Amino acid sequence: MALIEIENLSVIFTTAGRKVRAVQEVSFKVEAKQSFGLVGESGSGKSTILRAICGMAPITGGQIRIDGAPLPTPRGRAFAAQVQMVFQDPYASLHPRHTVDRVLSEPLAIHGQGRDSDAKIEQALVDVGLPPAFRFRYPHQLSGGQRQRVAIARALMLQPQILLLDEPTSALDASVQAETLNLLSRLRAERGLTFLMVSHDLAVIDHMCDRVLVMQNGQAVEELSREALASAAMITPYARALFAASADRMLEG
Amino acid sequence: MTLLSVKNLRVTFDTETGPVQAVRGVSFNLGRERLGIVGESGSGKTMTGRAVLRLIRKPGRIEADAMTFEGQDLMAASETDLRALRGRRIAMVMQDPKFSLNPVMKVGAQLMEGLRQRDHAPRAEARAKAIAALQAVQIRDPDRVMEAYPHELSGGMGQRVMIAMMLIPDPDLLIADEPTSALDVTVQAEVLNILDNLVKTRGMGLIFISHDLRLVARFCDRVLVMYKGKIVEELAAKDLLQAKHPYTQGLLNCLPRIGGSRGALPALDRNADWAR
Repeated sequence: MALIEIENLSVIFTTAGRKVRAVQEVSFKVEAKQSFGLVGESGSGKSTILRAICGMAPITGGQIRIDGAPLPTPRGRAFAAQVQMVFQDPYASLHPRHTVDRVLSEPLAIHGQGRDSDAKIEQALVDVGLPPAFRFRYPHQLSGGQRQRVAIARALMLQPQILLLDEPTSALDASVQAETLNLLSRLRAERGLTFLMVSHDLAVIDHMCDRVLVMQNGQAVEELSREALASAAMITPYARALFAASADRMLEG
Repeated sequence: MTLLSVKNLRVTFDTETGPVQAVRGVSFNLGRERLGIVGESGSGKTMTGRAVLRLIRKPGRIEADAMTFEGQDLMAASETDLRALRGRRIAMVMQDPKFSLNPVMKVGAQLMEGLRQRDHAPRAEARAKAIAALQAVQIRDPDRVMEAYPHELSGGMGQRVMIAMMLIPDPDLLIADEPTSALDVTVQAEVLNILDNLVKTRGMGLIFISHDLRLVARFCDRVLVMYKGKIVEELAAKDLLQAKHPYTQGLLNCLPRIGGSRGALPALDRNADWAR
């Protein structure tokens, strides 16, 4: 049984009386310890799927099952302990007036795991490659890459099985992106994590994921294995166009 | 023909621990071409772009041996002279739509503001121009976007709105600071085509600031590679992938590639000597 099962998921937002169909009947499955990528242009609904899983977007049709069980609404603590999200923009996703220590200790306090929180926080910082002295810094005292490391540490505080990654490196420089991707790969191997990753960079998806779903206008266009992506074996014109636009990201580049 | 000439540009900020030079002696000439500036965050590429418009707030200081735009001395220009240049002659697309658009003003009103205030255009004409500008950056539903607030737009849409806004007054020089970093590849290609057309058909000069080396190699004519406030290498964009400088090579090597190895990506070796 797949760890994440998404079946005919639809998300419709109503703004100013107009209906925006952000996601239309999308289905896919992610096996445990696999990494699954979602690619597509902005507004294709890929981030909305991650938000729907977390309960931050209304599910108007279809079902999401994690480990075979439908998700409860509201999501609850058990869900938070199992699934965590890393957001795109580390400048916006960390509270500007909370220290790193507070950001990392909050999930522990909420889940009644506050004992030994000192040791846990220092270990969490070491795990993401930050010196323990960063514990009492504020986000503005960190660089973008360091902030994204804190965001990853926060997501991992409750030892979740699944990480939802919403463009985790698109706000970062090439060199910092490489460091962050290496960090994510290492953590995935060490902890047996399952990734569901959104990116518009096919090279990043190819580097990180086993399978990828191409999306356009809220609909699933084509699902590809990593091998099919690398050998340009896509069938649909849109997936081909997306691939052609990324041609400079090929190995021979 | 030289549109912009910069000689020995320095940008200094005084901090508690003494003066910090963000830009240390940058010189370049720009014709009606596409010049790319690449480097990591903190390399001074954005500060170089802002310094051209003298958009560095005190206590930051801009110094240069010379900085001229079509013969006009930008260092000696008064604030009034600069206001006449900014937007109309030299426009800048800022990096982050979240911080550069007014959050409490509808997108349409922001697009029309310049036309109404500066050109005294009638409302209907301003609206038509604003919608045309949105269509030019491939926004599919311009009427909805005109009535939307910035928070209702995605990052990519916000970036396109800012590009549309800067292109309305038909500038001679466009400084684009990471204009496509929040766009996916297909929209990115469309936006680059728009910029490319403006350079080719109208003879606009373009300074394209980006950390995406592959994009710059494909899109620009000439590239400056910056590291810690200095230009470490200048080369033709087509030669970028064969760059000689170890810093440029490092920046290229740390990019993942489709069909590449899934092992750890090489980390960038930052050698302090390059900054001297």
